[in-house]
Amino acid sequence: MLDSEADLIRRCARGEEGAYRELVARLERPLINFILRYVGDPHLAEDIFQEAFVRVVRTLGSFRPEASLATWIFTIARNLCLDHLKAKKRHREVSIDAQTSDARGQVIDYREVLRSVLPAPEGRAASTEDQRRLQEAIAELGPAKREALALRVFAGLSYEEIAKIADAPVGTVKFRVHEAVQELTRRMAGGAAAKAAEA
Amino acid sequence: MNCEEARKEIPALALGESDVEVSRDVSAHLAACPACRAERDAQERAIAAMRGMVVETSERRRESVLGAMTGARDELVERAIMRRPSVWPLRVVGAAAAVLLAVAIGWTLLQPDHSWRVVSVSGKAIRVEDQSVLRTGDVLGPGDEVSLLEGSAVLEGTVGRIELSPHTSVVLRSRSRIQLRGTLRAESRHELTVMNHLGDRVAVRGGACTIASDMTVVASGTEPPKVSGDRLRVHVERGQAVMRGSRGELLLESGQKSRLDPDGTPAN
Repeated sequence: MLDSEADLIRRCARGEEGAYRELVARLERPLINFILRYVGDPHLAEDIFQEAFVRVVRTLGSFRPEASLATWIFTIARNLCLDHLKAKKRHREVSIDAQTSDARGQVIDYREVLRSVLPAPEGRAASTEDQRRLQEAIAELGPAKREALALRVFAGLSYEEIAKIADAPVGTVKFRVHEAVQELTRRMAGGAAAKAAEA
Repeated sequence: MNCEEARKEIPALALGESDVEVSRDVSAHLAACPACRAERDAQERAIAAMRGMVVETSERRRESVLGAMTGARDELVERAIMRRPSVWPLRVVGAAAAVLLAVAIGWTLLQPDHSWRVVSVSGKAIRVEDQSVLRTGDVLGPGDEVSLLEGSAVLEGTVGRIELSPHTSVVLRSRSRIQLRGTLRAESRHELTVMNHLGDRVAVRGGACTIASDMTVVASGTEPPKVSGDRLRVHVERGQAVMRGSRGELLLESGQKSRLDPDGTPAN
């Protein structure tokens, strides 16, 4: 671990707000991008991002100096993502999300209805639609490939760092990333062909 | 190099990871093979599109996280201090605070993550997942949904407290983020975010606000669906709040009120 990281950890352990601020600033961009692409839900991603740093404050005593700061915090975030994804599978959808029913008992989805009654957002560019399709394609990847892709392409981590976080060999994570890129390209090509057929 | 060998190397090439020798061999193949070249181009487009989706940093996000971190730190110190004998001299207490903080961190590792506690409840409030009736002293964690059917309920968390009005449901997304349907009064020590299911939100900064989200959609046969109620309505009693909708945000000071129009625009 770098001296600067060791010093930052010591200051965080003393509860210095400045140290907390510095820690968050260092990792914000790669971390939020990893979490967002891994779980796919922007609100959940913000929750997990915050919870990861709260866990850092609560578990500073368990940090091992031989690990890097980024690897440690990304591992915390990864485990939180996995916990949330497992919990989402186990529990039913919460009742105040999105849906209500009309007088006849027909279930209607707020978001779908609002799209029909409200003015459409201006300037919706084709790239937004492509990005939406890409996000859907990412969500359909297997969790190991999605995790590796998110860490490599969205968070910009090295394969050595990803291997430590994912607890897998470097060759394996590299393979997962390459497979993910190939699979996404195939899905995007399939989607583009379907879109052309509709036109 | 044949197509099969080239295709194995194309992702690394598209990601900019190939070493010089492999890159040269693949490039030589691509120069002669339109199909593999098309595959390389498609992968490069997909990677460029992904890199274009990167979310930027946000001061609001950083401030919200900082509030939660300092709240967690204060909670640790408070728990540690409550365990010390009151007869110790001040200078010993001061010197031991850092040690106690380290001990508290270790102790907290053993505790489950309960971010919220039921401070008081009258009438009937339930935890939605298992329909259990809530009582004073019950603890709740991230993801728990609470529904107040009648009466009143007060929940206290790391960054503040919320008082629910009857016929109100909240999902405790995290220590500092709540999803609301109904009406509540929020008091925060650090930043507390109250949001509706559409993503509109009010960030309460070190003050007290009454916040409501009671929008309903009525569909009636062939008539177009009608939207009634407010996406968000906020009255700042003291402190500051920032209300954000899909089409803008508004900073509100003590005494001010505002709401979101159905299209997500903050209205004075």
